[in-house]
Amino acid sequence: MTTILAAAASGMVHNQMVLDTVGDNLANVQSAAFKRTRIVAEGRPDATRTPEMSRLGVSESTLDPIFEVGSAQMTGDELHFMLNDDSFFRVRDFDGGVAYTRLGKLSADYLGQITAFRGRELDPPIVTEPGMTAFAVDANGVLTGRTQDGTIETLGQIGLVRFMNPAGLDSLGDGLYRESVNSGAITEGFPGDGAFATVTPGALEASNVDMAREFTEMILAQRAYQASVRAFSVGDSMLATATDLTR
Amino acid sequence: MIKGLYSVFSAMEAAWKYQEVLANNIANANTAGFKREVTAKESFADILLSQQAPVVAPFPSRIQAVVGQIGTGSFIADFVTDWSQGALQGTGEELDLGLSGGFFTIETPDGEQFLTRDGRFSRDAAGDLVTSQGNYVLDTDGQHINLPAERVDVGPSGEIITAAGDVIARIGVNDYGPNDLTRSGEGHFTATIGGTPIEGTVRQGYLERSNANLVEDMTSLLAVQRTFQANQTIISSLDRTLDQATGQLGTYGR
Repeated sequence: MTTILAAAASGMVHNQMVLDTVGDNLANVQSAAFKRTRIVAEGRPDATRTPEMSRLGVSESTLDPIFEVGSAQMTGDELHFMLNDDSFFRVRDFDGGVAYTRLGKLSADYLGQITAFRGRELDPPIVTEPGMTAFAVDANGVLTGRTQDGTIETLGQIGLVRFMNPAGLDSLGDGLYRESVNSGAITEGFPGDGAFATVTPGALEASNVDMAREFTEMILAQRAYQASVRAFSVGDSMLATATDLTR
Repeated sequence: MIKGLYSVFSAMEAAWKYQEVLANNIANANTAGFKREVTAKESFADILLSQQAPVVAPFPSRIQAVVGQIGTGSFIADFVTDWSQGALQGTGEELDLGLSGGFFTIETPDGEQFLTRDGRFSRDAAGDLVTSQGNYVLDTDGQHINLPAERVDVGPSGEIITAAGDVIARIGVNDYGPNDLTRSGEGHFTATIGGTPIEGTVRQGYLERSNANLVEDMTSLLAVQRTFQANQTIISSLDRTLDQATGQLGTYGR
């Protein structure tokens, strides 16, 4: 009897979620290495449902992180690097857990240690000597530093990993991801070793949010939301009419 | 007199059903691969009665005819799937596959098979090609498809080509007659008979959007609402007439 209300409400809920997603994407249009999220309404296969029973509106909304590589933004910082393929590098989150990130924004802290974004430790850690300066990363992810007597020393190389299904990673915020049962097998290697592309030193990966696409989505979702609201009120008024039958 | 009441009731029932279909179409205006439902237009009764009085949207003349001619009250509106192509939206994603003909065959972990036009696929943890709900996409031999971790290309006939240029599998795409399919949820169908393989309809980096037509469905929805109200008014006036027949005619004898 009230299928119309349920169907219309599901359309409203889905389009609200689209607008939430668009809002999040647009807010991060300038965030380095940010990956946009896509939301798609989908049907669910069910052989037991008759056509009457399957008119309940949107059955499922799926959110996918889209790992399309963003464009390079030159920063000139010798400790910045950008990953050019679908890879990640490993860091230790503040709780000590292993996490993965694409944000190659390394910096030297006050102790002269090389850390990833917001002071997270690299995994494996890069050990520096006291008094070292002029740290730099090259296209193969090799980190170097200058000792106090002026010689350049190699400190280590950034290792890369690739996941079978990166969309299955759990997002932790701050551009960090954690392995999940859905992320699948890991391939490990180093930049420029054949399996992985070289990195671009002195650059950060720009957000892959496309404003034109987001605004298109926003307009479509807004109109679809309005249509669903209208369907809801029509259903409501028809119910009222039916209730008036006995007057 | 009573017959008229039943006729009007049928029309209201049909209108109610129609608005449920319309609301579902509108709610799924953004569901990938969704095929909207429309009123059936080619039944025997329709043709017979449309010669007497062609009727404009939203109802096929069957419904109108029930009001005017048959009046048995046993009418059930019939809805069919509109198989027209949804717009192909470019997404650039590796495993978004848009179809311009035919259906993908997917298999649930329980072994049930369904057909769909929703080509938003991905790898699962083991590298198998799956739908967003984790159902396997089947190749031309009905087997699961295992992909490497590196990007693959998908050709127009569903060929999966690795970076080295090897064809490792072919996604099965089959075509069916419109009457061989039944709806099993939004955007999913089951077939009563086997399909015929179809080639050259797969586009990598595209998704087929819903073919819902918001303008048409909203217009029909408003028309349905008014039809419903009109019929309610008729019921009221029939009720008044009956009231007169039973109440006032009965006073004659006094």
